[in-house]
Amino acid sequence: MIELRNITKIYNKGKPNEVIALKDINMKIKEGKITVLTGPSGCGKTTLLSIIGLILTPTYGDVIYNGENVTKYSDYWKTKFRRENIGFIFQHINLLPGYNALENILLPLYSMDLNPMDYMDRAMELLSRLKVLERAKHKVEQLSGGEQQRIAFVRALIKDPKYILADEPTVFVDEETSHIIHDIMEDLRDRGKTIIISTHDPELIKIADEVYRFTYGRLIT
Amino acid sequence: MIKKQKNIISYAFDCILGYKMRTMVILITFLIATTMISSVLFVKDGLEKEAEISIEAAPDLTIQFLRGGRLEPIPISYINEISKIEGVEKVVPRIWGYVGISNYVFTIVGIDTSNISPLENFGLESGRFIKEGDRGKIVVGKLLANLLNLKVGDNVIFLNEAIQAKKYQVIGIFSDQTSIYTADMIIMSIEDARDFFNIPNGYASDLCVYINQRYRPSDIAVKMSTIPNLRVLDKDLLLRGYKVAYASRGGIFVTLWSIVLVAVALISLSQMIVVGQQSRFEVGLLKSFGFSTLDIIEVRLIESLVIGFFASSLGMILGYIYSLYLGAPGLIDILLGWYFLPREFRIPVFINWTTVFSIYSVTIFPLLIATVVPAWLNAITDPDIAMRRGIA
Amino acid sequence: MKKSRIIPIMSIIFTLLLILIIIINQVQWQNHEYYYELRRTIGLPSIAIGTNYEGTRNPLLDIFVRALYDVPGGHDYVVSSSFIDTPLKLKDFFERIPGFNMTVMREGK
Repeated sequence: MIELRNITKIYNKGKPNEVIALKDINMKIKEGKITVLTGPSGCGKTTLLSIIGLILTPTYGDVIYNGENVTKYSDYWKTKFRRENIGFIFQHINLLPGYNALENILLPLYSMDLNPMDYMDRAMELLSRLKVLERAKHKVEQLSGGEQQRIAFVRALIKDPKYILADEPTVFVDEETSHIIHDIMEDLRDRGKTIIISTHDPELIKIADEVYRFTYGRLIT
Repeated sequence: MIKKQKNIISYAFDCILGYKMRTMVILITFLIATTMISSVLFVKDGLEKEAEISIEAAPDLTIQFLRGGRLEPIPISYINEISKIEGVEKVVPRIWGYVGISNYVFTIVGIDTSNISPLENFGLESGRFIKEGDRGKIVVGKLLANLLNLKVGDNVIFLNEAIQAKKYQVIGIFSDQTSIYTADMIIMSIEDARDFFNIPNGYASDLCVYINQRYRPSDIAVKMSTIPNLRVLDKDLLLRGYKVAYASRGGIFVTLWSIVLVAVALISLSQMIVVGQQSRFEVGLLKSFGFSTLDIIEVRLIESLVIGFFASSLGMILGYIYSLYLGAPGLIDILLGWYFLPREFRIPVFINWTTVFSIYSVTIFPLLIATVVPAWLNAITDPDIAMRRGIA
Repeated sequence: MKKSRIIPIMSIIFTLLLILIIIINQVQWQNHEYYYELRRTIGLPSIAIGTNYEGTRNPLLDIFVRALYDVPGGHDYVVSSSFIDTPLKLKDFFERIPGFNMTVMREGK
């Protein structure tokens, strides 16, 4: 269980351009389920996802993983936790330019004590399932937005993480690919993975076990 | 852990090509800077080494005669007086001076032939060295030999200051190996030199004093200072003289180092600005994947070390080739003020470990700081913030 | 071999090559024939540092010559200068002692 207690995030605190992105958010996210965060653009979904993924520290409030309050834990601990447990799909895709698709996919494995080449088959299988196998050796700059998003999706799943945090994972892909992604998400849930998705996609909302609606920094339902 | 280290090293290597433009800019700048600096320093070190050797072989004391504070030939009668001083082993008179021929100034040295051992190696390419009883014979350096196309057995005529023609036979030519020392030299017997320079009998240019090893030359020099009209120069004084010159040269090198450092700093700064955004984004992304701050610093460290060592090592190799085989054309003129280096003159090139390490340190350390510090600063901020700043 | 390995490998090769060059250079200097007897017999400092030989004559050496007083190989005729001017005013270093430019001829030519 991931529990969020009174999460508040204020950007540029105390400055004239101060922005309150999240205010007093309380949530309980069940393990092995698909949880969807939805709401208008700029309502703080991405910020919340970053806080859950421990890549952003809340201004106030606590993040509790399985009863353990990890908010104040060291950067080293959080990094290790992310390395071992979390796979990200970013809103801006965030592939490294200058590298090919496969190199980008294997990148998260470089921080682990394993041989990334051992994961080649898994990468190929996922690429094949998402119909971008033939683009594996292409530089990411040569790929379309949809292809890049699929690569980012494979990258998040390559180390088979326990938690998958996906920020608008279907925004750039066509309907067919979107269905494939839904299927994969459902498969992952069936395998006990916890998936947290920020999305506007009604199809994704349909497969969710739990949906949280936001409006400008506040949780509605 | 081994596999992880391997991965990090592998990723760092990929980054070198990933940031192609930055790598190229640093490589080229470092290459030019290190080639330039190293060739000058290697020559400077070579000259210093030569200076040390010369000092070692120099007489312990050199005695000159002053009249009205100006140098004049020294009466040989001083030899007796000086020889009486305890610790003085040998006093040798010497006559030397300059002769201008063509565009060059040559040094004529008249030596006391009675002390020369015929068995010693004097570094001759052909012929023999001056021996006792030789009159009208000279041994010449490569510069004069090449200028006049001289061979052993040839005769040459010099005009002295009194416009008197003096004829000499070349009996030996110094080899290239001694060129730094002998290229401009004309060696003759002390009697011939006296005749050439019109120095009266009973006088010499100066006296060379050799001291018994058990005594300190400076102590003997103090005793000699009581004899009027003499100027006593000891090895230490010469060494101090060299040091004065090298300190002046050192001034130039400090200036040069500063220029290089500023250049390196500017280049590092510019590459930071150019790739700063991308690098910030990359650091944030890597951290989100689980790269620790230490891993990221390690990546940047390896990257900078590889680029730094590549450019600095290659630069120093080129600097060595440039100074040893090409004589550092152009550069030496500008940096050391050399005017003209005939091919007879071999530039001594000495590679000192200290020099090599100092070159590495002024090139690699600023690069490390310029790449590692920003990476570290980004790595200790929240990955989300680092990525947002990188994308923005 | 991956393309990205080329620069690191070359970096190691160049560094090792440099170390080799340093060692060879040091050995060469150690085995260098110094001709001590020649230096002792003539008793002059090396021309590289002590004479007004034009090959070695530069403003710093002029300081040197002054510093060395009038030891053999370093007469006290100095051209005042500063190193910054040097590249532009190399002509100045052609000056020599008045009445000193004598001549030489090879017999029979």
